[in-house]
Amino acid sequence: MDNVDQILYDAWSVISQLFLLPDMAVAIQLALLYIPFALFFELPFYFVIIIGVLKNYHRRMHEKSHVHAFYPKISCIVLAYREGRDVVKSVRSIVEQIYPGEIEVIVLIDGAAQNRQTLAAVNSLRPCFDQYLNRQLRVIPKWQRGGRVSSLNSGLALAKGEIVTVLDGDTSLDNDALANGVRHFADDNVVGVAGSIRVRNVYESFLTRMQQIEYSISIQTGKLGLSEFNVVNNISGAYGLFRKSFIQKIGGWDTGTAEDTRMTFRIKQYFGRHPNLRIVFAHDSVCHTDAPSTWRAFFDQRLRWDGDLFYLFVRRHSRGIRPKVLGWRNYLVTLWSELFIQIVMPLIIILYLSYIFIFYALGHVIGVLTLVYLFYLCLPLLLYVVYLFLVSERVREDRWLLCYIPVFPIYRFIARIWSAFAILIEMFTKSHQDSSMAPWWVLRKDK
Amino acid sequence: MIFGVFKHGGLPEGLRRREDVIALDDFKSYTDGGHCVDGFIIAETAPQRISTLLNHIRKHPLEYEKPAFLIKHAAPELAVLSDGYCNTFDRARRRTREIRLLSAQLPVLEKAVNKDQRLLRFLYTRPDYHLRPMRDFNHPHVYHYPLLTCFKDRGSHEGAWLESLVERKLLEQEKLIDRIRLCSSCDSVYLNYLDVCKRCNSLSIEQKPFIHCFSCGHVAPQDDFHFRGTLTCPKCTSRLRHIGQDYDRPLENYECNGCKHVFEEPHIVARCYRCGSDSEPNQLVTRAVYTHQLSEAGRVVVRTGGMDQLLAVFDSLNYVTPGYFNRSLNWMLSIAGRHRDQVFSILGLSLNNVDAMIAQVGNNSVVRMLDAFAVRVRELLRDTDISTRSGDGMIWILLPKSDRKGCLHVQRRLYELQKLSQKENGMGLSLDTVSYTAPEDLTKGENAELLMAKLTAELSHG
Repeated sequence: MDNVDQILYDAWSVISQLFLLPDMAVAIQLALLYIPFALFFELPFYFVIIIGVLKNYHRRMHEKSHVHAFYPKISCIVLAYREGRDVVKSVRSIVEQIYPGEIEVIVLIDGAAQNRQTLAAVNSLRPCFDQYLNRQLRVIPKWQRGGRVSSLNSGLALAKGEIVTVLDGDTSLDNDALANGVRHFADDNVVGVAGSIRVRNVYESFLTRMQQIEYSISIQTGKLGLSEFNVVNNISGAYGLFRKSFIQKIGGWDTGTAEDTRMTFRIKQYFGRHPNLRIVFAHDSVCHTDAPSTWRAFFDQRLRWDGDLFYLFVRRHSRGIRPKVLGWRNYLVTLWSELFIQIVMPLIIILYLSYIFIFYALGHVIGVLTLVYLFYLCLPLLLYVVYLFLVSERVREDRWLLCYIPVFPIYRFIARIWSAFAILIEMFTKSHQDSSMAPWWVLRKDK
Repeated sequence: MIFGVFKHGGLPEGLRRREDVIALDDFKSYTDGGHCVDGFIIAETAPQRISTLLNHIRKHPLEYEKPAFLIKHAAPELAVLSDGYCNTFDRARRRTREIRLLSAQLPVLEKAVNKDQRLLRFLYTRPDYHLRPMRDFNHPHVYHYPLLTCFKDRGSHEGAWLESLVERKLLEQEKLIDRIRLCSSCDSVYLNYLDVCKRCNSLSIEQKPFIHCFSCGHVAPQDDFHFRGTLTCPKCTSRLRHIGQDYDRPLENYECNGCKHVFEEPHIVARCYRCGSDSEPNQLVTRAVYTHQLSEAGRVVVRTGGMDQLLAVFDSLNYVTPGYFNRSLNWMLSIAGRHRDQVFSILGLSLNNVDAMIAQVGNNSVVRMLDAFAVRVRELLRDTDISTRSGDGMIWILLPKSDRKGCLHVQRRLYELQKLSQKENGMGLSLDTVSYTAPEDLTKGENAELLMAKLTAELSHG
């Protein structure tokens, strides 16, 4: 009993000391322990985001509502693989777009010889296209598997539209997504538009709800804020729009893993020389995708994503991260958000945890962790409220997720630990050169 | 062999000199001139003239069977009445000879032959002729058989006749050409299929994209949902963003401009262009259109002059239809089953050498012989007896209140009559009979159909 009392007392003393500050020395010591990483690196980043969101909101409010008579032909490259009937949802949602211009849907079926069901599902949609004006379907069965990038580049070669949209076979669009996304290309300097991503199966499990909150904060709110400063970190592979002439000029997508981040980074590498070029995030151009609903699938996905980041920014493109190439703004944001927050922070968290567990009493550790929890509770709460009021287009549906915010820090904590693990694995095994996204005979060609 | 050659304005020099050719101007000049030819050659080119001549030939009660050749290819609806193309006299002669050989196998008929006989004889003498339906836009049924049109009696219905020929198994259906639907009130084939509103039957309906709002269930045309570049439900004002999540496409995609009714499938009606009446598609009269040819039974009938028609002389014996006969028999069987004093007999007779007799003594004398025989049989029967004929040439007589003794008496007298009918040379009708008497022969659970089948089998196996 005494032991437990002691632990609780220690924890309380840590917490109360921070707020009441009776003893500056202990407070400073504690602050030194965790505040630098959080305050100096994360808080300013989110501050920038919130400023960006406010700026965007202000601009939207004062924007003259005018009819955008800009309706270029769009080519939708749908990457199908083993989705089966699910691809029908995706293609139907494109056909249903409220977009007066022409939309050409190019469905590429990778390894169509094995994925006959997907092929049959796509072909069954042909009659549906006859009922709509301005909608064409082209089905390209790639009998031999070539991977995502081979599909993307073949789609790019076949596309006739001025704007190219890339969509995963298991994602679907809101009916105004393309209209809202394409609108931005009226500005000639815009070369890419990142779309907003929502979790389609949000009601499926606790984990999918957590991911929806995460997407709301990091994608919807995060990218919207970054977009105001033209520093969007990624045009997601699940849904993005590009100006065809531009990506054709830069040679299409590169083989290998994380082709979406690579494409975004390669576009950004022109920003130093052409500061007018822009990547915009369209928060009202919404796509819906299925998020992993089990922990196992979730860990698999994050192992791939987080490892990819290290592989890309540390192994492959480290020489490209220079202010001369990216421009100062993007250089700083890349260092800051990609390198530091995404790659270094998880590792620091592991070191920090190990450190306090070894050198401090259990009571102090719990106290410190409680403070950390409170910090990471307030931050997402603030961001989520910002999201609800300024960003979300489905406030009524998103509102109820607020009650999940108290457990969100725990989810984030697990995800970050796992992220550190993924980065460590990549550091030592270099396994991300290989990817399940393409067969080995294709990856071999990646330089 | 002499051919009548039709050529308006006379024949060329070479032909005129031939002795086996008679130049004819038109069909009237042929009938008025008192010529007799073996066949006709139509050396005309105008379709109208060819058609008139062929129709005259086929409609003529004596000349209909004679071959008629064309010298040039003509439209199928013309050629169907001819015997094809003959560009040399040799071919015409050969073909005529074939037809005459077959014709010689048939009994010589008097002038007043009926349409059945005419058609069957025509088909018999042309074994490779198929009765083909021709498509004619002016015909009320579109399809018609020109040969039947020529042979039918004035005022009779071509379709009904063909049906009866098939029913009597004289013609057999070959190939299904088409299936037509006729107006249920006027039999016209000229129908317009209209899609109309299910509720008010209005013609003015439109196919539109529709939307079904998930939050309030509102179904309306997509145009109603357009609101400032978005889809918004006009009823519950929810924003419809994603197909499958907020809304979908309902099966209903028709709207009536009159009553604004919304429906899935329009109602289909068939409107007749002739009488203007509307019918449901399933009420329309369906008719299958086949090609036909002479059946084996038809071949026998035409060769024997028509067994069926010969036996019709027996219809003076209180003839009833087989159905009525069976019903009466059933009634009597059920009485006999209950009351043992109910007595009746059935006598079946079959004349089994009619074919052979015709071949030997000719059709007419066989008819006379049968007629005399029937008159005598009639004298033998009571007024209360009834008779019927089954299709296979058997005659059945139901003798109420006749016991076995009475039945045997009639049977014996029949054989005596048969002997009487025999001629000096021993030629005569050959007769088989079968008899049945209730209640002696009655077995349990017997009904008319079973009994008749049993007796028929007994009679046909002698």
